[in-house]
Amino acid sequence: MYYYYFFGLCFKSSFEFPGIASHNFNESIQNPVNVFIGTTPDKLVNPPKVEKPFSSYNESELLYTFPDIANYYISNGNEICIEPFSENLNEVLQLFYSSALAAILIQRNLIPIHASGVKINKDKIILLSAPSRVGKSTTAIFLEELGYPIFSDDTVLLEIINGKCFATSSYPILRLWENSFEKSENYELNDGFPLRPGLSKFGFYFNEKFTFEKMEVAAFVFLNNRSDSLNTQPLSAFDLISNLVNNIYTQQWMEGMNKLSLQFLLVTSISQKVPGYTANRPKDQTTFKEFSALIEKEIIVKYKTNCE
Amino acid sequence: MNNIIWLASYPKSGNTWFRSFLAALKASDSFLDINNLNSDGLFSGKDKFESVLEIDSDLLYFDEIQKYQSLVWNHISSKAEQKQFVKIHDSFNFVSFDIKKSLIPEEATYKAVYIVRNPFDVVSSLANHIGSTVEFSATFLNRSDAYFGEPFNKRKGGNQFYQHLGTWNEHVKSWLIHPSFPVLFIRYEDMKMNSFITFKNALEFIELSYSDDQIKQALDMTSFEKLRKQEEDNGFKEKSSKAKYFFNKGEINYGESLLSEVQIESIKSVNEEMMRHFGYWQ
Repeated sequence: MYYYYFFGLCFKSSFEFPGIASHNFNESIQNPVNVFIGTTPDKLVNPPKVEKPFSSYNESELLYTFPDIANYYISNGNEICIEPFSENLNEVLQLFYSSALAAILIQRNLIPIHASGVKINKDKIILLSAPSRVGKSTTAIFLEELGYPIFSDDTVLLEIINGKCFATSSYPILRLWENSFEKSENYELNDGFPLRPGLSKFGFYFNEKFTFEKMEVAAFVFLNNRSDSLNTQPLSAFDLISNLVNNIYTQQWMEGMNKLSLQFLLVTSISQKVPGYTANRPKDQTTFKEFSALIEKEIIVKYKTNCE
Repeated sequence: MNNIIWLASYPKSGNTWFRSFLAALKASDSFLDINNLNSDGLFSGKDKFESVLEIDSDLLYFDEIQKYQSLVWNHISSKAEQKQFVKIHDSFNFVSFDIKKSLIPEEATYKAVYIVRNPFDVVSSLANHIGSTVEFSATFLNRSDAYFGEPFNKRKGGNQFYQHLGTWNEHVKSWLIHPSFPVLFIRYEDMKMNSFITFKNALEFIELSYSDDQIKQALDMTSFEKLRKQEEDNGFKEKSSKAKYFFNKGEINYGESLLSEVQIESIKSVNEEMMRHFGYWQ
């Protein structure tokens, strides 16, 4: 058996995950998620609440098909069965990372958000949140060049603990388009792997830099790429709630998995505790360096000046 | 089951104006927010695709995307409780792996409205939209391999899939000869010069019932001047980053004067058949 930590939860796997550092078995591990290769059921045990071409789900089960690649059955917050059709394990695991993990979280009443994070000091992070393709990962790697290490890429788990908002990193993989890392100093083609053969989107493992512990969220920065100029704006609590809701990861599952009230409680609670901003840029790749520098100057430095 | 009505056109031919008009008809408070047109999506947009399939489309190959697009729109059509008006700029084409299977799912389709515009005016509007010279866009209209969105062999994380356009002539003709469902062709010039009757006929075709006063009010709300004013005041999220304004001129019969004799002849030679068919041949 192989043991891994994703989103702070322990996963006990019957197979080895390529590129991810495994952990030794520890007697203190409680209620791990079992991951195994097997035959997925043809349909859900309980009636589906939502049925789509590739997926069906209810509060405790998700059945997903990625044609010609694999089927995935995620149930009761503690089991992931994968039935692979492709021999390329990296290909098979893409949906594990992007969907199966999120389903496990939601089944356990935990809410992931679409955000990359960077550390701004030894115990705090800022989260860069936006829908896909707005530039979360690219902004994060340019902030990393300015001295803010990557905390998480694409998704984090959010929780309120003792009145403070904490995030847990997802897993030690950064995903970047080739045209994004070509402009960076820290990432090269030879260090990454194509997410599927022939695709120009690559994964980069960052096991050595990965942080397993929860870190406190200093600010939410919602990225926008439809502006005519580079600028940042503070958000009201109301707008912060609406931005958070729009960036709940797999937001469309919340209703079908009966988690809308849980989502409401989390985002309203966060809005009282953490400041939010929008960071706006034109849709032009050449602005990322300036964009990251602006986020540093207008949000990170100001936060540090006020709080430290 | 067949609940989709395609709002089709070569780019920069009046599609957004028509969608704005439909949104204005539905607006209850006599105010149209151009950044909230509430239309039912874009055929080649990634958002609907990913929402229905629950997958990151950036993980998919070109032939998988083509194969799954029909699944997506069949699903949306089957779940819809009313007709869905979906924008499309793709030529009426066939999937790469089956020359008999159309990219656009005909089983999900009720009808289509195709908006056609004088190609000389399209050249000028397109140049503004993509931030190019008139010379470049004049050549673009003559290219069989012209496309919008991401090139299928060099993707880099855009919001729209590859959309084959072809030459202006090929685009118009593809929608004229291939669809098995009813298609109403309307000319941008008629939308402009004979607005009321042109829009009224279009509404009858798509079986939307509105009074003459409601149609006139919607036309007033979507006059070029009002759409442009809103864009100047609040911006427009559909504007490309390379254009100063999306609602650029909105005029008719002005593009030819911006072109050289050589460019005019080149466009005419490539696009003659459909220019003649739709009354643009002089």
